[in-house]
Amino acid sequence: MLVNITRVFTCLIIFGWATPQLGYTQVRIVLKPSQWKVDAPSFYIQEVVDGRKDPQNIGYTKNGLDEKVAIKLSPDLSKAIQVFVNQSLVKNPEAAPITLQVLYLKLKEEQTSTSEVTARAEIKLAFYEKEATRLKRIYVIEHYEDEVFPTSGKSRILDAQEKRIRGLLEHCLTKFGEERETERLKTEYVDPKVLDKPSTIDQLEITKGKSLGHWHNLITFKRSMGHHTQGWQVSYIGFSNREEIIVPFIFSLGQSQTKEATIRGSEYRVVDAYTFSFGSQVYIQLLPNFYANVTLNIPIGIEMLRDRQEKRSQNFLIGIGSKQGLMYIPKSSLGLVLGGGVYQRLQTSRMFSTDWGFELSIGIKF
Amino acid sequence: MSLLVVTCYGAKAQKIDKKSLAKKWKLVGYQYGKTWHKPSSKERGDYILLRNNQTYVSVSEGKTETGKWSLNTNGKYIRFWDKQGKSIRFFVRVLKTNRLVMKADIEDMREIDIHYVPTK
Repeated sequence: MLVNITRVFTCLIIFGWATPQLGYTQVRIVLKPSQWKVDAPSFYIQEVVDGRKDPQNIGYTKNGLDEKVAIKLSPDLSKAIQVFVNQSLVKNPEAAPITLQVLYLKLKEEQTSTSEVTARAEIKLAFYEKEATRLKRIYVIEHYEDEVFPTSGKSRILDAQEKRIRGLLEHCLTKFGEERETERLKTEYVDPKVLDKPSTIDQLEITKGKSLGHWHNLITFKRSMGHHTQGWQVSYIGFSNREEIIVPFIFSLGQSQTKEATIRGSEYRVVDAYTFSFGSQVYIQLLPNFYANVTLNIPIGIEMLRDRQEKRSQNFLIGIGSKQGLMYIPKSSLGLVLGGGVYQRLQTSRMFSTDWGFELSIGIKF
Repeated sequence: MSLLVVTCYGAKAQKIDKKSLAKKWKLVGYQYGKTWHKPSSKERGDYILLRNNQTYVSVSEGKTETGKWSLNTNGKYIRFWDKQGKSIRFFVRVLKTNRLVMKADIEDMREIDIHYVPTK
């Protein structure tokens, strides 16, 4: 995660269900031989054309070191798909020859919660019938499939993605067959050169607004200056930005000192508090890198008191707090995080029951 | 539990296809890791009837639902559509002559295997 080093080693061929050895920056997957039942197929795939904008790979997975590993279909995309579909859609004299153009195929995976990773496969296909000198586009389909894995099951993702590519192809070809049977195809004559040109598609229409997002890990150090206290807090914040309103996982540890002005006149000389807090926080993305955040938390801890005769005592602390602030979080995978805000707190301190103040934070995103 | 496992894994595995799935399947329990849970009293009569014509009838906690189903052989899942057009995906984990084990693609249920046996 901290480093994305691009190293090119030998390619690893994964035969379907074989366990991938993810020590490489590139893996090749072979579609496992498999059929699906097609009742009297009225068409077969005569040719598969790779019309993707980016033919370099079909996406990425992550290896054990969390490095990105490019995925390729073996021997190449057109042949792999041709061989796979031919197993179910067998050429016969009654069946119509169809040219299949792959406009988009992408495998993605992202951590989507503290305990889950979502794997996605997306495809866009166009179906053509060739006439003597003309080309007829008869069907275009987009489809995607998601599957959620526990983070402990990340090693299963690549195998499952291979299965998902087959699942996508089966879905799209079955759907095409159904539309063809019921004569719902909308045909259009197109320039035959369309089969030679790469598409301009870099996102499916159906996944717009359904992004897998990116997982953010933040460690922040916060300095607070309150009416009664001043202190610091270290927090781990983890969240996925796939939704506009984000509820991150947060865990914080902190220490605060009661100010001299508050202690003055009391029986205590030093009052320190050690707390950890948990609760709910909502982040709302205002701009690509700026988030507004509202927090409701429950600080729990201990108040260490020393009176003027140096006698020590302790007090159990529990309270309820709220915060409102702004955060700058860079888009890059590694970067500096800055934030600021105001807070209010009610708690069972021996010195005060309410406190409020300002806080500034600096942190790292990784 | 051990009897159940023996019964389940001793049976003949079947190819996941429409013909093998098109039966009436009675709910017999849930498995979460190594823990086995019997259906609650409300779920005791629950079943799924998968018909050859791609329609289904399901009884869940006594409530009957009908709709359409389709199998994606390569994706190893069944998609159930209700009358409102909403769909749920169930991954087929095991298909044997005497048992169907599925996993619902629903949050908080993804780690639970749902066991069915064929019934008349």
